[in-house]
Amino acid sequence: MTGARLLIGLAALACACSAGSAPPAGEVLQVMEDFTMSQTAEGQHLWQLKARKADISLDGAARITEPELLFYRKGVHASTARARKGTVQTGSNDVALEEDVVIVAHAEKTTLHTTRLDYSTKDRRFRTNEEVLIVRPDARIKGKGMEADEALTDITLYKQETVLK
Amino acid sequence: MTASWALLLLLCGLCSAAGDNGSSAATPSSTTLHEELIGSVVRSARWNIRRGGGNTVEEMTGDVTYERQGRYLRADSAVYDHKSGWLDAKGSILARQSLDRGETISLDGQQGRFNMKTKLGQLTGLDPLDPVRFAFAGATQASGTARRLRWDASAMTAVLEEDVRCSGPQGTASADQALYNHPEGSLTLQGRRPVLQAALPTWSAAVQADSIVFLKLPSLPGTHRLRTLAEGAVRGWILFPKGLKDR
Repeated sequence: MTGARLLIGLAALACACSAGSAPPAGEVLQVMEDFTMSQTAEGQHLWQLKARKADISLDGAARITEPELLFYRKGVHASTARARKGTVQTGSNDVALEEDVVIVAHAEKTTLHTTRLDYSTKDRRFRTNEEVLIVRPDARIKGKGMEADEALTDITLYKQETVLK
Repeated sequence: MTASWALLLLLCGLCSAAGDNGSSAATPSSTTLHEELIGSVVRSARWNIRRGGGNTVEEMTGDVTYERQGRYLRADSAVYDHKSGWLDAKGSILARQSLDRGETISLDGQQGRFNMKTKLGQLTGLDPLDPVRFAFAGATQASGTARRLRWDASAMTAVLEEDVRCSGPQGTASADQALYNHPEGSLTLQGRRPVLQAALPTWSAAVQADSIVFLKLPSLPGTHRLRTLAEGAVRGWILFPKGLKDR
């Protein structure tokens, strides 16, 4: 995180705050559309989060709809993660992706499918305890439980079964 | 001895497949190899792939298995280095191949490696008390041990080394080395004065020589014909049952 800076941009903002007393935790404070968030280091993109909608709540989390995470390595786009929905922790910026999670790593010609995936900005790694399917031109690899870097160049999969095709 | 022959022949192919196993979760180095492996299934408790610096390294641990059409391989762990081509497997390595007519050959050891590029491989046991073991199970049974097996899958040759022992219903053989050459159809026992003992229903024999060579002769499908040559200070005996003349 040293030298990194976070930029939050929003194309449109609709405030759902109630005037007067503070809303209970979990209640939506703000709804942002075309939500964009990114992290850079030494002038280069590390990652960029885009979502159709983000519901910001008091509990320090943003519920995001149709999130798309673009990861960069040395400034070059390395992979893209998409899901139906997810959550961003506003303090740590950790992201949890849920439902139809797909990561496409173009250089590695690898696509990963799962139902839930957590991304930690601290060590820049994905983790899940759910079932995972990795599809490559030569193989389909199934497993349960996984840890991987954002470019899918370092993947650890548990209970793996590989079928060559 | 014919079963042991078949075993050695098949081990060459089987061990080549063991090398293929480790790369199955990775992009094979050639189309031919990949086509050969289509449908293969590899399993392990943990699989890690690391790519970077122009190389890819795959590591599988925990009951690593490979299965394909009657072929089964397992090890406790396996590491495949794509750049060097070396696949290293460790721990309770077992290779088993089912043949036609329900026959099975198997091979086990503790440490093995195969190079996908050079097609050279090696399998060793843990120590003299835990050597490489090989076996043939079918209408006849044959088995054997050696400290080490080395093979060249391209040349279709294999060498069993140190304290080589084979046994079957028709006899036993022992030597310091057993050199198998599939293209030539030969198996040569040499080193430490190899000994061959045969015990058949109608006769028995024993021979010791500097080298004992088995040559495969043309035969009908499903049958085996061998010529046995003993060379160098040959000593031995043949015992025929009563009523038959000594030859």
